[in-house]
This record gives sequence, structure tokens and C-alpha cells, in this order.
Amino acid sequence: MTRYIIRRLIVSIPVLFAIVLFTFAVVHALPGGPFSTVGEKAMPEHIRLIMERRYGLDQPLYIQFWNYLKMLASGDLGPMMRMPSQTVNDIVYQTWPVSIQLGSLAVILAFAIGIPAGILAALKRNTWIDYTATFTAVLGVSINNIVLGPLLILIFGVWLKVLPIAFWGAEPPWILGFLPKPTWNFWTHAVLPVVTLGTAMSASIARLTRASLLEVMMSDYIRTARAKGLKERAVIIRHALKNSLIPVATILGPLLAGVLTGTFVVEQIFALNGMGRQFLMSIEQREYFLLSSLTLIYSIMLVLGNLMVDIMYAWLDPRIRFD
Amino acid sequence: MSRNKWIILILVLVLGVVVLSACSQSTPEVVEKVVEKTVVVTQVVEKEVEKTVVVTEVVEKEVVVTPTPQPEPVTLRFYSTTDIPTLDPQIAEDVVSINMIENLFVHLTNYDLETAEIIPETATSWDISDDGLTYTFHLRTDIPWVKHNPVTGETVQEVDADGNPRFVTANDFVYGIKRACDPNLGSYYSSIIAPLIVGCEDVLNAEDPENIPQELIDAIGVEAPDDATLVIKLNFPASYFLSMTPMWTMAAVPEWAIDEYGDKWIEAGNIVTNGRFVLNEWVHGVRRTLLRNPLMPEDMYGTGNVEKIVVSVVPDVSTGYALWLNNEVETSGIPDAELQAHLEKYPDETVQVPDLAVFYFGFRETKPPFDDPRVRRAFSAAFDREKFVTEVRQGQGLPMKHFAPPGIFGAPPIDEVGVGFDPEFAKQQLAEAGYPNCEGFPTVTLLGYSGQATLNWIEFAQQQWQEHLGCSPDVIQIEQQSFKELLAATSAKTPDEEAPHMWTLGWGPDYPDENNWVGDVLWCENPGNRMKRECTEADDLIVQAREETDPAKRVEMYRQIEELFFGPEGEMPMAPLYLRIAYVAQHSWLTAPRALFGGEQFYNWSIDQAAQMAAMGK
Repeated sequence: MTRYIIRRLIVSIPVLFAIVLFTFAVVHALPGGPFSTVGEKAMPEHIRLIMERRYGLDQPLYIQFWNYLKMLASGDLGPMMRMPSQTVNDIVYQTWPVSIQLGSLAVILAFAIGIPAGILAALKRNTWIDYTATFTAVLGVSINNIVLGPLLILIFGVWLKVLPIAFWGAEPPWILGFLPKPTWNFWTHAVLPVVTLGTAMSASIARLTRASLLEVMMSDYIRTARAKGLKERAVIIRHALKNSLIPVATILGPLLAGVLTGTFVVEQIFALNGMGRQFLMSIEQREYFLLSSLTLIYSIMLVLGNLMVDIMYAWLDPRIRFD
Repeated sequence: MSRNKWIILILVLVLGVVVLSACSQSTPEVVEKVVEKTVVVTQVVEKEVEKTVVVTEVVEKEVVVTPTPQPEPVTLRFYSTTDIPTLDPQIAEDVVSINMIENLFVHLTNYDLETAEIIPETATSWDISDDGLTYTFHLRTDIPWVKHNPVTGETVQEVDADGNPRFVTANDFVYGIKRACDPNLGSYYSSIIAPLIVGCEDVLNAEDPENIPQELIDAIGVEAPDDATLVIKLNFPASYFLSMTPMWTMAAVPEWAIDEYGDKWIEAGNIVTNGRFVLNEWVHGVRRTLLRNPLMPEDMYGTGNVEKIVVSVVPDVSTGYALWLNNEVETSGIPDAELQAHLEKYPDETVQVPDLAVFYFGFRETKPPFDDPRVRRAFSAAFDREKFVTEVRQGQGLPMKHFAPPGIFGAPPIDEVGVGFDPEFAKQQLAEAGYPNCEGFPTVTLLGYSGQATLNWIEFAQQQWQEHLGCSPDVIQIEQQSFKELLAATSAKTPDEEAPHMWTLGWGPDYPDENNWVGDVLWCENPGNRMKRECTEADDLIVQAREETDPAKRVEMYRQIEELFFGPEGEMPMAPLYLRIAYVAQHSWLTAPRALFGGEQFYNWSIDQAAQMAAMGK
């Protein structure tokens, strides 16, 4: 297993390299640069040239890329060209933990609701429980975060005044570099964004769990288990459930990578200083170093997420072996 | 396999730490109050720097003995949609930064909020030489340079190497202005002041920006004969120079702090300021907090009563508006979808804020058929500005017939000069150009920047030109691109084949003078010249007007220039459309005189704290 993990990590290095190279090339190909505009006005030509030279943007692209790789190798993610008192490392330190905290709470919520709901719907198939669960799940999938977020703000923030409308309840410095100080303030601020983000995810997890469990319940080995005279409870928990979670585990990797590196819509609506917002800002402002570094982080998370999924496969299904 | 189970268990545990550690509760409120108290006590101590350590001890004791809280400081709360890009006066170029800088730093002079006149700030008076080339400013020397410690809450005066307290002097302005001429700062506003000040442009355009010869820097026409006198020499008798002196670009900055911290000198805890407020906190991307500077001379306090300012970062206006509804901020923008409902429900809590930005269609004068002034006049006159402002802008604007809006020195009255909307004139001009009823008119492009608002705008234009000129929408191709792309596409360097015929743009002033409009946008010798204008009689007048010292004559000259551009016989390089005015939600307990130029003067804002507290349920 250890050899397998190491092999996978080594194989992923060229993939990461290709992703960063591609992003780097695409973002530089966008018209205009970080210094071409000033608010709603154009930057004077000679000042633009001086600033571009300072950050090496006047060099051929392959040299810029090489310099960027050298920076990365020394742990430097690059400068912020339009906010010179900050670096990309600063921005990542400020924003990534917020996204990790929001994302992991949302995933926990999504699984805590999604999996039991899916199991219940599958076991009570074609009863009112199933219909209610399925209906709620369809609703959850169809209501976009962009609608749900403001709706929750309106109900719980403006009308009922029981929960804060916006902001994240924790700020740097973080505990262990990424954990919040778990104050009351933190939890009250977390409720609405986590519910907004978790609901849609829990709905798709519930649907997936239901479909997969139904399929497994009809397979031969379940019939065998029942024929052996096992109790229904044991059949479901020991034999059916674990196998039915394989498709759920499959989506977990990309899901985790996605939400742990920031979700633009939720961060925007709730005014959270997360990494998702930085993605968009870096494209708008042509902050080349920030965008390339964020893409790199996202790619690493994706690789790790998928690796984790593969490891979980082996645990969920004993027939799967990697050695 | 059991090892793998452990790995997963550990992963789950790490995620769960967040949940499990909930039990321990901290009590941040006490700490915050300690901080506020320290500030008040420092005020009593005033300039005796050495004693402040003792003062801190007193405060600690006080907290132990008497837990009763101090009265809440009068607090102004609002939000901006982005973080502050910079707090460096010479680098700042956006509203968010400039609003903070106006309150953290004093400037050479100030704008009067009511009259937009130049009034004393650091300079108490000034003389202009007879030839209009030398400006001598007489400065007050009692404004201290201060540093605020965000941890202890102390504000102390800076001292120099010999231990003498530092006050703002003419030398600090000399340093600031020379710094503004340095091309390595990458500041947009350098290029606004450089053409005026002797030697500034030579430094800004130095061949080798990394090794600018000291002689060039020394030759910049700014001097400090003594601490209280600042002399600025101009290249030509620019009569609008005084209107630029309240600009952040020319503010004094602390050379020693910049040398010590480099780019990081603007961070909380490092920054040295001289304004009415100090920076207490800057949580990047989240919030910044300003407190009154207790060491500021009393007569510079301003007319407002605000003691503390909390500005949060809220990127989404809908969320900001929800915060306003909840009385968590004093003022907010209003989302378009809510505007009508808001106006009906809160007519007394709505203010109209003009920002003096005028929006227009630019015409490429070298690209047929827009090389014919009659075609340009026709397209401008066929746009019903009144209807546009009412229907598309929901009343948030004023129709414009010429370029410079009211409030700018030299701008003609808003309803005079310029053809504006005149469908008959438009039809006749288009017919004279050889396209009666738009027959035979070639396909042309109108490029707008991205966003629904711009789409509504250019679609409205399409309808107008169909209705009043008879041009089918197929003839006017509309396109949208990001702002950076639009600027690149319309640049004077872009060949005509690749440039659009028409585009949307807006212009907001840098200083309150007509030269900033016709001179900095339309003048044929501007490097920007997007319309690719040829030089004409109007351009001679632009050069004459900027050097004319008699204000009455200047007003008349600018009227002529606007007429030459936008009158019935005018060149019409652009079609001015409207002056932007935004509706802003503002609670009734806030009195906020807005600044048309420079940053908002929060020191002149007032809050009825009793009403504010009542609304918050306190």
C-alpha cells in the first residue's frame, strides 16, 4: 500500500506541472495585464512598462515560467503585483483556512444528512418516507446556492434576527495554522454558510446512496446472505452498506478538493474571506502569480482527494487490491 | 487493512477537531474594552511619550477594580466591496484607498465640501507669483507624526534620532512630491502631476528608471526654505494647479518609516500617520478599524463626532443591503432589484450621491462612416438621454449634452451648450451624410464593457437608433468585452480595422477643473487619444485655457471649447450621455456631507448615537 501511494504521488508530479503550465499560459494569453488599467482608466504606457519589468513580465513566457518554478521550489508563491504590501503566501494564509473550515463543516453536514437519508429512502422504497426524502433531495439539488444563501439570510438574519447575516467568525492567527478559535461567535457565523453549502451536497449524496443501495440490495450475494438466515439488519449493515458506498466515495475526492479550496458563490454571498473569492479576483486583476498558485493548490488537493478515494475503495471492497 | 482504517480515522478526527474544541469559550469583549480605555488615557497624557508605559499599568489596575464599561465610542460602520489595495498616498488610485488616506493623512490643502473650493489644511495660506509659475505655501508646524500600537491601543508621537518629537514639516511634503515623480512607484497619479511640476516629468520618464541620476531628482521644482514654507515651481502657469493641491499624491509621507519597512510600511503597527484618525486594525480582506487620533491639534478635529470607524469588506451589494436593513451598517448601496421597493419604503433614508462620472459613447474618428462628423452628430442626437436615465438607470443620473458636469470649474451650465437629444437634427445630419433613413449605411460595431447594466444600455441605444434614424439592429452590431479588453481594443495604437466604431466609457475627475476633461481626455496630443482626433482650433484653445490666469476668461474659453465639440456644428468626438448619480441607503441618524473630490471626510460626519443605539436594540 505504501509503495502504491508513493507511486501515485510521483506519477502526479508531471500532471501538476502540466496543469500549472497550462494555467500560466492561458492567464498570460488574456488581453490586458495587471498594470494595463487603473480603476476605470488606462495606465500610462511608460509606467506600465516599468512595472511589468519589475515583475519580469517583459521576459519571454518560458523564462517567466522557469522563474516562477524556481520561486515555488523555495516555498515562495509569488508577489501580489497590485497589493505590494502583501504576498501570495500572505493571501493563502489568510484565506485558505476559512475555505477549509467552511468546506469541511459543510462536507460533514452533507454526509451526516445525505447518507442516512439515502439509506432510509432505499429501505423504505416507494413509501412516503422515500417520496419525501427524494423530493427534498431533488429540491436541494435544484435550489442553487445563489438562491438559498440570500433566502436564508432574509429569513434567519433579517426577519427572525437569530443568526448573523454575514462574515466568518474566525480570523488569523489560526490555531495550528488552519483551525479557528472555536468561540460562540464562530459557530453562529458558520451556521448559514455551512447549511447553504452543505444542503446541495447532502442532496446529491442522498440520491447517490439511495440508487446505489437499491442496486446492491438486488445482487446475488445479498440473496446468499439472506439465504444463510442472517437478520435483515446484519445484511444491510455488514454486507450491503459498505459496498453501496463505493460510488459515494468516488465523488468524495473531487468534492473535497472543490469545497476545501473555496466556493466562490457562498464566500461572495456571506462576505467570507475565502480562497474561492481570490480565484475570481486574480483573474479579473490579472494577478498571475496568485492565480497560478491557487490553481496549483487546487490541483494538489484534487490529486490527494482522488488518492484518498482509492484508499477508501480498498477498505470498502476487500476485492480491490493495489499491490 | 486495519492500518488504512486508522488513516481514515485520523482524517476524520482532524476534521472533527473543529467540532470537538467548541467547549472552550474565550471572552474577547474584556480585551476590547481595555484597548479602548488605553486610547482615552493616552489623550490625557498627550505628547509626553516616555510616560505612556506607566499609563498602561494604571489601565490594567482599573480593569481589575472597576469592571464598569466605558461609554461606546461613536461608531461609523459601513462596508466596501474590496479590501484596501494600498494606504500609500503616492500609490493610491482607487476610491477605497483614497477614502482611508483622506482620514489617516493631512493633505497640503483641502476641498470645501459645499463649495468645492480649496481651503487651508496643512497650508494655512499661499502666494502665487505674478508669472503664475511659483506657488509658495505657508504651513502650520503643530501637526504631529504619530504611530498607533494596535495591541496596546496607544497612540504616541514619533521622535527623531535625537529624541525630538516629529511634526509635519515642509520637508515631508518635498519628500512626498519628489516620491510621486518616481516612476518605480507605478502610480497612475504621477502622470497627472508630472507635466506641471518642474523636472518631475524628466524623472518620471527617465531612460533608466532603476538608476535615476541624483541631479534629476534634485532638479524637481519643490523646495523647503524652512520647516514652514513649501515652494513649488511649475513648467507653465497652470491656473488649475491649486485645485490639485488637496490630492493624496502630494501628501507628506514619513520617509523614515518607509525606509524602515519598505512596502510593508502601510501595515497596521508599522504605519506612521498625521491625520485625524489612526489605523487600529487591518484584517486583510475582512475589516479595518480607525480610531480618532488623540494627538491631533484640536482645531483640526473637523465638524463631525465620529470617534471610531469600522469598514468591513462585503463584495456583494445584496448582502450589504441586508446588513443595512438589520442596522448593522449606516450606509449601503441598493441592489438594482430592490431599488423601487426601497424608494417606496424608505424615502427618508435614501440619499442621492453624484460621483461626477460622465458616461459616453466614443467614436473612432478615423474609421468610416464615423470619419464624417455628420454621422457622429446624428448618432449622438438620436439618443434620448432623458428616457434612458428614467427607464434604464431608474432615475440614477442626469442627462448630459456636453462633457464636463456641474461642480467642475469651467463647466458650462448643464442645460446649455450642446445639441443633446434632437431626433429631427439627427435625421437631417444622417441624410446629409448620404444615408437618408439609414439607407446604405454599412454595418458598424458598438463595444460595451461586460455586465448586465451595460447590455441594457447598448440595447437601448440600438432601439433608439432604429426609432430615430431608421437603422435596423442588424446594422449596429453590439458586443461586450471585459474592461481591460475594451481599453485594449479602443487604444489609439489598435489599428482601425480591429477597433470598434463606437464604445462605452466613462470619465471621473481627478481634480475639479475643465482641463481634466477636455484637456486630459479629448486633447489631440494626449497619448490616450482613443478617438484618434486630429488637432483643431479647439486644441489650441485647450492649451491657451490651461495657462490663462483670469478665471472669467477661462470660463468663457471652456464654453467655446465645449461648443466646438458638442454644438450643432461640433466635431462630436463622443456622445456624452449622462452624469452618474447613485441612490444610497443611509440611516437617518447619520449626517454625512459627501465629498465630490478626494476621499470622504469622515471627520466631518456625525451620528446621533442615541438613535443608532435604539435601532440596534441597545
